Parts: sequence; structure tokens; C-alpha cells
Amino acid sequence: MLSRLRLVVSLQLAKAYRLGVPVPAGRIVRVFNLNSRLVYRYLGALEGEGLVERAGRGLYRVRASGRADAWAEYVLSQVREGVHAYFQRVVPEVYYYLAEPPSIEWLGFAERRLAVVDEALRGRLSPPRGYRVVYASLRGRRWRYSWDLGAAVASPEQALADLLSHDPGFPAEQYLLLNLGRLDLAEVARRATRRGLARLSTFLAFLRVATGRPLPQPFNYLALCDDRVLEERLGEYVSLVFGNGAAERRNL
Amino acid sequence: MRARWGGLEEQLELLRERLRLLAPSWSALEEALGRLPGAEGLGRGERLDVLRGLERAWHVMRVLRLLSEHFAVELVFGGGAVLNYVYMPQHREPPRLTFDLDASCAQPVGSKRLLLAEAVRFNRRIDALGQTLPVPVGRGSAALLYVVEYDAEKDFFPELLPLRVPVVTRYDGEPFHRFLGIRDYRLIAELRAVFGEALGVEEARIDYVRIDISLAPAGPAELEELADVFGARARAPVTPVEHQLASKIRWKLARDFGEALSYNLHDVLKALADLRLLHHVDARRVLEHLGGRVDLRAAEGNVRALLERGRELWSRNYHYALVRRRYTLEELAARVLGALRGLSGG
Repeated sequence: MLSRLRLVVSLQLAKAYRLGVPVPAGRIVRVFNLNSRLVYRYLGALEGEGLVERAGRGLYRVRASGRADAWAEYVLSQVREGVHAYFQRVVPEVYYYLAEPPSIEWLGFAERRLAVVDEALRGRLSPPRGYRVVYASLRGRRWRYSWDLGAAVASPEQALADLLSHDPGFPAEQYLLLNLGRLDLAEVARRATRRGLARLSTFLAFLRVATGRPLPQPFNYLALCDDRVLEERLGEYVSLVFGNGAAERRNL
Repeated sequence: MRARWGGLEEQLELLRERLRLLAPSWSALEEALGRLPGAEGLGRGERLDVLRGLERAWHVMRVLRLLSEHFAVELVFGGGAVLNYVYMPQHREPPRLTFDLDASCAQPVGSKRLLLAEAVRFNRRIDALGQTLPVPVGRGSAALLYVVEYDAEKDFFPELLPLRVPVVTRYDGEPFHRFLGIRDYRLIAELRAVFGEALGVEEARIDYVRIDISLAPAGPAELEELADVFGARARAPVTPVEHQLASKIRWKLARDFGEALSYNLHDVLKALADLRLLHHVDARRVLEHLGGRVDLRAAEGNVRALLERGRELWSRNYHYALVRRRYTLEELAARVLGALRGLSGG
């Protein structure tokens, strides 16, 4: 029976081995929030056993050998599959995350989940239906392994930025409205693409008008709001901000 | 147009720079007052009250200019602000002070949401022109003032969209730090210094300019060059003054309010003050807009009630300070009723 640390490090190596990519040790430490000394000590031990080899600075991979192959097979048999079985079985958590804000169950479940996957894995995955996969560089992004979910999930701000940027069907504005005081919108803005930033800014500009609240932010959302987004989403904005029949009562 | 506000020093500098554009200097207000009929006899207290009112009037007319530039012929202006800050001074009549702006859509608009979306576009446009005021509130954030917002608390009628614009004033409204929820005393002190330098008043306040937009066209419109009491000009569609006066007669002065009259005396007084213009316009056109008849009895009854029960509204309210310098309430009533009798041929 492997310890939790040994299990997750081994799983990253085994899954990456199957996909033909090395594993950045630093990411294992960060994504799983592990003690780096213990991680490197374990990687050193695997290296000493001849199961793992260095593939560059801070990169490790499983050695191509029959013994290593059998070890990887054994490690993968330890995977406990949950809701996101494909990702749990196939994709190392250091190479992907699910962009899903917490407490999303209040809003129902999205038809398709957004998964952001390292562009190094482009062409190497065949995720099942139900996932919208975006391949992008993961440099500078914030995500963690969720021990409850058994999958890698983005920080709330990162998730919102990705949803605004890549998933036009996700009700990101609804989440934003319900969590306005809790979210660091400057960080969301920093992490969003140009399209995501336009969507965020346009909603904030509408909220500024519709609620009459000053909505102070470190960035000027008025300067960034987009007319096309406003036209596309006006109906959605009105029904969000003026719920419970207020829109009909006031002819809004 | 700036996407990020920068550090506090930069934000304060921007605030200082924008306040020079977005707030009238005290001397400009004094000059405007000096040009107004009725200003000569004001006592010191009344003079200060009127100057304070003129500061808000300056903002009202500034908002009118910006709206007319953005909406072009789509928005037709009218109401007390246009009558008192444009037409009254033209005819050497002292204005009453009024702080809201009335407008109507030139074409019928089906739903208020379309105007809310247009308000977002308007805000973006005036921001690009440097006509918004970002006030630092701490942690690198700034709150944008001088933008149009929906006034949900005043939304009572399906055909009327109430909007408002928060503006910085010297003496009216809520203290800026309370309005913006700033608790950091050092920041408050920095902002006080900027306001003190720009306005001459450290404890600047934030008040609203209110705008009512009717979704249905109010009637005919004429494109006019509006020169206001502050020397600024705007080219905007306006409801003809005769039509506006006719509306004031029909819906205010000569309306049978029944038992609700006591609650409407302030409206009767406002109409009475504005209807001084009857002496300066084409009476036949007013009568045309009224459909050829005036309910003179209702008007006389309302004015009588005002003289009996509404005297305090007239004598205490600084909105009428300039008008009071020229007329007593009786003189005003006689002048307007005389014009009405002339209209109805009685």
C-alpha cells in the first residue's frame, strides 16, 4: 500500500509515461500541495531503483523497460475512478484542470465541463463527450488537486476567467453576480483572454448601470466593454439582475 | 480611456485633472449668477443658497449636453431645466432652480432594457472622452462617478425610465467617503486635500442629477441651439416651448386635483413660475396645443389654494429665491392667470 504522496507522484509518472510526456516535479509539489523535500526524495528513490529517469531540468519520466512498464501498470491499477473517470485514469493532474467554480451545484450542472489541458498533450487525448477541452499553456495558471473530487480543479478566479474566455454557454455571469463580494475580479481580468475580459467588463458595465452601485475595481471595465457582447447577452443580463418578475413589472 | 488606474499617486493626479474639467469653479458660478435677472437683490444667505443650487444646475446642463451629443435626434429634451436655464434667461426672467432633466424618446421604445443598454454605451463613450470621474477607494481600485445609472427606487411607471448621475458637489448630497464606503482614514485625508485644492471644499459631497426618460414621444420636436446660463451651448431636439407650456397648463395648473390638491401645491407653484413664459411666446400655438380650451376655473381654484395654503413653499424654498426678487406670489399669480385669461379669451 503506497502512501498518499507516493501514490500521487507515481500516478503522475505512470499516466505521463502512457502519454509519452515527462512530469515536472515542481508542478507535482504545487498542484498536490506536497512537501517538496519528500517529493524529491521519493523521485530520487525511484531513480535509484532504475524505474524513473531525469528528462531535463526538474523533469522526470518512467524509464522504457519491462520492469518499469510493469510498475506503471501496477500504479495505474490503483486509480480510484470517480465522476471524471477518463481524466483520473489517463491524464496527469499536473497537465490539466477542470474549470468549474465552487458551489456551482446551486446553479445546476453544466451540460459540458470545461477542461483546460496543457498544449503538450494536444493530439494525445480522446476525452469522452461531456467535456469541452481547451489546449493551452498552463504556465502561470492556478489550479489544485481536489482530494474530494479526485481531479484537478482551477481556483475560483482561474475557473471564472477560463469559463468567460472559452465557454460562451456557461452561466458565468450568474456565478459572478452571486459571488461579487467574494471574487477578486482583478485577478479574473488578469487571467482571462481578450474575449473573456470583454465579457467580464461588459457585464460589470451593465451591472454598474442597472444596480447603481459604484462597483470599484482596479481596472476600468467601461473602457473594455464590448458592444457585440452587450447585444448578445442583454436579455440574459436583464433576467439575472431583475429576477422574480421585476423585469416584467417595470417593463425592463 | 484607461484600462488600469495605476498607483494611488497616479489616481489622485487623474482625479485632480478630471475635477478641473468636471466641476465648475466658484468664480464661474458667481459669474453665471451675476448674469441672471433677480440676482442683484439677494441677501448673503440666499446668494449662497442660489450659488449652491447653480452648481447642481451646471451639472444638469452638462449632462444634457453629453446626452444630446450621444443620442443626437433620438432624445428630445424638455421640462423645467430647459425652460429655466435656457429660455427664462433669454427673456430676462429670473429662473427657478430645478435639478432634474426630462427627456423623451423621439421614436417609441418598447422596453426600458434598450435604454439601459444605450446607457452602457453612453457611459463608455463619455469615459473615452474623459468625462467620467474615477475616485480611488483603496487597494488600487477606483469607483467611477459621473456615469449614468438606473434609479430603481424611483421606477414607478412602465413608460418612464428614471436614471441618475452621481456628481461631486461642494455642499449637497452625502460626504464622498460615506457614499463610496471608504474607511481608510489616510486615503480620506488624501482625497480631502485633492477636493480642497480643486473645489475649495475638503468635505466634498456626492449628489445625483436625475434624468427621467419617457419611452413614448412627448409630442413635436424642434432642433435648437440651446445656450444655457453658464455660457455653454448644445444643439439638441427640444419639445417646442409652447407645447411644454400647454402641458404645464393641462397637467399642472389647470388640472382638477380634487381632494389631492394639498399634495400637489408644489407642482402648481412650479407650473405657475414656469408659465411666466406665456408672455414671451406665441399664445396661439399654446392654445392650439391645448385643443383650443383652457379650464380657467380649475386654474383659478388651484392658484387660490396655493395663495391660501402654499405660501410657505414659495417663501422658504431657495429654488424660488431669484423669482421672489422680482415678483410677489400675488403678482406671479395675477400675471399668469392674466395670460391664461388672454389665451381663453376671457
